[in-house]
Amino acid sequence: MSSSRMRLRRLGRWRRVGGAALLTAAVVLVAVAPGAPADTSAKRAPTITMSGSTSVAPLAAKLAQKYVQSHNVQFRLSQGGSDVGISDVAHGRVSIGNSSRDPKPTDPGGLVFHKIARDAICVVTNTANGLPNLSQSGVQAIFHGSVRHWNQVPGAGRGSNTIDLFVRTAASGTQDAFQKLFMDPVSVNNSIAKQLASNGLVQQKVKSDPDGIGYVSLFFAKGTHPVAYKGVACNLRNAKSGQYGGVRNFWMVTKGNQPAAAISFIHWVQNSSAAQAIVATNWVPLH
Amino acid sequence: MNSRRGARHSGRRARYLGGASLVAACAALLAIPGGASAVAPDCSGKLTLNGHGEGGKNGVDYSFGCKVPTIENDKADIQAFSLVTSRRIDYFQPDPTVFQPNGDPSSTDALNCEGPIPGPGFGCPGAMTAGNHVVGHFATIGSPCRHLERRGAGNVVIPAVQAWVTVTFQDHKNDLDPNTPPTYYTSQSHPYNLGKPRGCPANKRLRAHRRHHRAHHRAHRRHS
Repeated sequence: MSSSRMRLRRLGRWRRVGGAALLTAAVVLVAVAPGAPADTSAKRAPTITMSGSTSVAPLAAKLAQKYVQSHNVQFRLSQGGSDVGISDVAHGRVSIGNSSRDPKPTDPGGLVFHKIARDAICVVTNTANGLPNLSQSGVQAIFHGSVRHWNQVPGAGRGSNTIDLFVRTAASGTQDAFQKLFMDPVSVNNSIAKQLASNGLVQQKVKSDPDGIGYVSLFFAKGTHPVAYKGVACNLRNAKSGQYGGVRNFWMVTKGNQPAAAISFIHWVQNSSAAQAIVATNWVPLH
Repeated sequence: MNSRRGARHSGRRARYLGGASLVAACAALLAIPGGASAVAPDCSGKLTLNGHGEGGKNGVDYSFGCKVPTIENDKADIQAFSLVTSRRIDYFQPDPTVFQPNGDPSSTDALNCEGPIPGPGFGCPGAMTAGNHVVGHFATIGSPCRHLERRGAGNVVIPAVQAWVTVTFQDHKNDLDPNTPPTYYTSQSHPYNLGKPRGCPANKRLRAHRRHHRAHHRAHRRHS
């Protein structure tokens, strides 16, 4: 073969390499574009969609991560608050509505509430305010607004500063559970409190405000000062032992017993030791 | 002789064309979300290996912040961000934390993330003031660092994960006319590369594989 023919052959190879590079870049372009599926095989797996409680979301994300390792299924997780999740599942917008409050008589018919775990609600203050304990009447006085200054609260270290109240919006399951467990028969005074849409926001507000007080799911108490309630510290050990009084249920809500993939997932959460081990890391397992 | 030179020149040209097309395609990749406006934010951030977080042993922390040009004391804020990864992930933190420039957590900003599990990334609507930065966590399927994976008869080098962040921000119209109040609308930035995770350990197997590959290549060249 003549050397010029060999060079032409090499030239052809380089053209192919150039073309291949362009093709590869185009494939990368499509694959990395937001929302583009990276793997077409995932399309064949059934998708379980979840929305609702911001308290349940951290647990749901960890359970989904474990479940997909051994099951051919895909999840789509969003949030919005317990009422949003219950409304979404009732209208068929999601397979599972995550809720951190118990069923209400006003909830739409045909919903099935599956209990998956229990969770402690902590009253939290800024770390600059090491308030040691609150009785039920103390919590009620602060959140109802009959006590407005820290010097009226025994053990608080904020002088006569005004108490900054941070509570959750009406769509929140944590708000509903807090009302039942800590406040009944009086209610939270929303006119003097700042209403926030998520546990994370209450946590951030209290962390950054030395005069702040709020309530969050135990998972979100990091970086704040959890106040003991009725003489019992708000921690996982006391929540598991049943000593701590402010413990509520976590639910996964379906419309009837459908869809099958969602029901299988919920049964796995309730019954498998792997799932309950995940629950036990930050929440109270069922068994 | 002339035909030889011509062939050599065309070969070089073809090589340049190949390289240029790759660069052009990569540039197109960065320009995908179009609509980036004149007041586009300037974002930067990083990935850090964190095998002790909520995502487990394959966890990676991400952090980024954006500066958005301000107009007449009016801040243009971040309303959402999406994070896309080069490798599939099976965990993302639903509630990343927003910090102020002084390191304190923001009392006004919050983002709630949503997306597929497993999937190529996630989106986080909410609010983040320009100048603040967000810190969150995700986990890849398999090690997030460059590593070897057994596929069929041989080993395949899996590259380290990379992530790109795109932000949706509040933009202004009519901002140059002082008599007309500014109209707000939303725009999307181009993707900002957060790079590869910092803190990946040196991989002995990978180094041995590379050595073996090089030796094999040298032997092949000598033989031919």
